[in-house]
Amino acid sequence: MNVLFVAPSGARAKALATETRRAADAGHRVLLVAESEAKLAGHDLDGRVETHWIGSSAVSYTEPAATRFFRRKVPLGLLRRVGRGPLRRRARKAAKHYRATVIAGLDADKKTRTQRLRRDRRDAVVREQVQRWAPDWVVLHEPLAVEAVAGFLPALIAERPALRTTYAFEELWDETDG
Amino acid sequence: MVTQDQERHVAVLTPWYPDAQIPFSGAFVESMAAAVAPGLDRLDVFHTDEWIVNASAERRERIWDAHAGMLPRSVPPVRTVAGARLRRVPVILPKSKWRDFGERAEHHAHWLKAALGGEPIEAPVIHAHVPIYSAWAALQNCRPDARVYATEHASFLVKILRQPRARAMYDEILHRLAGYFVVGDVLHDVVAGTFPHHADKIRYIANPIDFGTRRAAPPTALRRWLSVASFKAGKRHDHLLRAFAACRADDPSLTLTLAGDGVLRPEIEALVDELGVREAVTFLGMVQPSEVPGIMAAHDVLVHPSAFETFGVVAVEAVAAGLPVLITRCGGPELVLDGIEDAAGVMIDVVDDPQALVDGYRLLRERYPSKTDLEHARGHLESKYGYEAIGAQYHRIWFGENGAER
Repeated sequence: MNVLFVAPSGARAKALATETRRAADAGHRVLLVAESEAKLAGHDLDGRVETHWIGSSAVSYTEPAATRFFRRKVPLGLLRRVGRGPLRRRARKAAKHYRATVIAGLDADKKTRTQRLRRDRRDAVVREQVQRWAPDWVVLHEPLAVEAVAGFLPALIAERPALRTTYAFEELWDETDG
Repeated sequence: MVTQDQERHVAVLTPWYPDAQIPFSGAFVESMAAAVAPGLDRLDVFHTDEWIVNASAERRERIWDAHAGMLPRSVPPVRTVAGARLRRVPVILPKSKWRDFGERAEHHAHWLKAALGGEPIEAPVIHAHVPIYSAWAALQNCRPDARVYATEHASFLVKILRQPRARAMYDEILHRLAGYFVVGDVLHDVVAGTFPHHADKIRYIANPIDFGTRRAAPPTALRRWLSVASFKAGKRHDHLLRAFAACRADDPSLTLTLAGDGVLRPEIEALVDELGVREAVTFLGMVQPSEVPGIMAAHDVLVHPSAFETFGVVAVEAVAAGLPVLITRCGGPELVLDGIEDAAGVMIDVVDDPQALVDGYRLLRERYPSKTDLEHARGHLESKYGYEAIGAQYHRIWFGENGAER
C-alpha cells in the first residue's frame, strides 16, 4: 500500500519516526508530508520514508512599499527629526505612542497575513501531495493534519470509499487476537 | 448485575493511554486492561485523546464537519495488551476551551459519539478512568441497560471541582454511576468533602502492578539510589539532590540515577553541578513503563521525597522489583504500604528540610537488612496489587462476588 503520513507541524515527531518505520517494516511505501526536516531533528527518520517538505516558513507577507514608506518610515523619521530640537521629550513620547499603536497594528496585520499565507501554502501542498501520490492509506497524524485536509479529503473519500484513513499507524486488531 | 451466562464484554474509557509519542501516558490503564482481560469474552479500550485546534471560528466549522465525517471510518480497532481492541478517538477541541473542564468533557462525549457513528457502546459494562472526561462520555454513549463504573486518578481533581459547571457535572456523574472508585485517601477526602451526599459510594481500588521482574538477589548495600519521577516541583528533586550530596559526603561510593524528565530539568542539572555531584548522578531521561522494573532491579534503594501522590505506584514497583524504599508519607504511599512500612523500608513525613531525607537514609542503612523484610512486603503487595488480585477485584465489581471465578 501507499501510506501517506500528513504531519504538517511534526508536533508528534517521536511517534512519527516510530510509526513511519513501522509502516515501512510492514512492507508499505511510505511518504511523509511535513513542514521541514528541522522539525523532526533528533528523531531518526527511517531512510525508506520518502519525504516532501512543505516549507511554509519560507513564505511571509510582504508589506506594500507605500505602507512601509508612508506609515512606518516617514512618521518615525519626522518624529526623529523633530526630536533633535527643543521638542525632544514630546517627540519621543509621540514616537513611542506611534510604535505602540500604528506600528504594532501593522506588525499584527503582517503576522496575520503571513500566517494565512503559510496556512494556505500548507493546505495546498498537502492537497497536491494527496492527489499526486494517490495513497491507499492516509494517516492524519496531528491536529494540523485534520485542519489541512478538511477542505478536500471528505470529497475524496466520497469518490474513493476504499481509501483508508486513520490517526496513527498501529497494528490492526483481527479476530485471531481475541 | 451481569449474570454468569451473559457475555463478559467490558469497555474501558480513558483520556490517557500509552502511544508511540508518550509511552508512559496512562500506563496504569494499560496495566488495568492487561489485568482484567483474562476471563473476559471481549475487552474494548476507547482512548479519547485531546487534540487542540487553534483556528478561526469560520474555519473551525469546516474542520469540525470534516472530522465528524471522517471519524467513524478512521478509528479501526488496533492491537493492545492481552487481546483487547483499542480505538483511539481524537477529541478535537478549540484552544479557547482548554481551561474549561466541563467543555472538555462535552467534547469527549461528542467526539466519542461521532466515532461510534451515533450508536451506543456495545459493552454492557463500562469502566471509565478520570470521570469528568471518560465517565461523562460513557454515560452519554452507553446502552440504556449498561452499568458504568469509574475510577478517579486525577491529581488535578481540586481544579476540576473548583469550576461550578464541572462540579455539577461531576455530581451528576456520581449520581448515575453503578460504582465509583479512587486510588488513594487524598482523592477520597476531596470527593467526600465536596459531595458529602455521595460519600458512601466512594470505594478504593488500586492500579495493578507488574510483579514479573525482580532482582536476582536482595541488595547487599544501599549505595545505588534510584528516583523514578517526572521533573516537576511536587516531586522535590531539590530535596533529593541535597540529601544525596549530604549522604555522599559521608560515603563517596553512593550514586544516584534519575529516571524522568520535565520542565525542571535545567534547574535540576544546575543543582547537580552546584552540589558538585555530577560524576555520581546519571540522568536516564524518560523511560518506557516496561523498562522500569529492569531499571529498579539494577539499583539498591528507591528514594522518593514527593510532596503529594494520589497512589504511590512507584513504591509498589520498587518493592516488586526487590528494593527497599525511602519514601514520604505524601498521600498514597502510606495507604499502599499500610502494615508493611517497616518491612519495606523507611517512611518519612513531608517536611521542608532535606535533612529529614538524610536522617531517613541513615535510619534505613541501620535497619537494612535485618530489620526489614522485603519478601514479606513483596508478597503482601502482590496479593493486593498484582495483576491477578486486581483483575479478580474488577471482575467481582462488574459481575458479582462470584464474578472472578471463571
